[in-house]
Amino acid sequence: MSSGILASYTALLAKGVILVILILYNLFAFIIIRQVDTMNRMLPTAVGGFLKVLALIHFVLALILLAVSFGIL
Amino acid sequence: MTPEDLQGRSYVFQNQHAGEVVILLLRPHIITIIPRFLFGLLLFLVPALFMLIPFDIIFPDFPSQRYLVVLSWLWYLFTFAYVFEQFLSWYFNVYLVTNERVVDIDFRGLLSSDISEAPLDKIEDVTSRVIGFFPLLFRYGDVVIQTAAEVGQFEFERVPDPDHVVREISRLIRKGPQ
Repeated sequence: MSSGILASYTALLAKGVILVILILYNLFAFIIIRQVDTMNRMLPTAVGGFLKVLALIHFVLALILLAVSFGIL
Repeated sequence: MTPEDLQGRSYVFQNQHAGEVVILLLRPHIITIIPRFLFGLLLFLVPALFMLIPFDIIFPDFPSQRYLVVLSWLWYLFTFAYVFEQFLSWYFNVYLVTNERVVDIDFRGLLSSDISEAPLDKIEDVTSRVIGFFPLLFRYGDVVIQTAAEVGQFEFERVPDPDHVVREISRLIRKGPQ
């Protein structure tokens, strides 16, 4: 097996592993949003809205990374 | 946050009784989360170290640069999530002293929470405990509350000015539930 074919198989495997990790990470990012919601409900504070926005931005960035990874890997 | 920060503000929380007023809202002293933030700062530097490794030379046939970009981005997101989780844990795991009871709001893990409470008239003993160099320097420590309620003991961990908290709880007990 030439080194080029080996590299393409390795790249395919690496891509699969990274995409699975990213999908799981997106799930985690979504759970953080739910967590912030629960916390805000339990103890409403002045910074609750800001924390929710941060959690949303984090989730959106994770989604963008997943989409970009599908494209460039 | 010191206990005095509540002056002039009113807090509400889930399951608050009608007419119940939050007298003290306590979190661990802010100095206690600084080591975790510093660890987060160190995590931010890890991708920069990986950039020093010449992956293109080690794996010439592998499109390593694209993978490095994706993994670095993922790492920064993960680091942000770590710091954010540390902050959330510090900010929302609070101890409340109201004119009726003491409440311990505890979030465990990502989606589970636990609220323990004891009425003021069930409190038998309140003591403060300041042990160690940093607690003495920054005036924080534990407040241990023995109760005759379902939860036998409350421990307000690493809260600012524990003596003040003990005095305030004792004052409320003397005053009686309102």
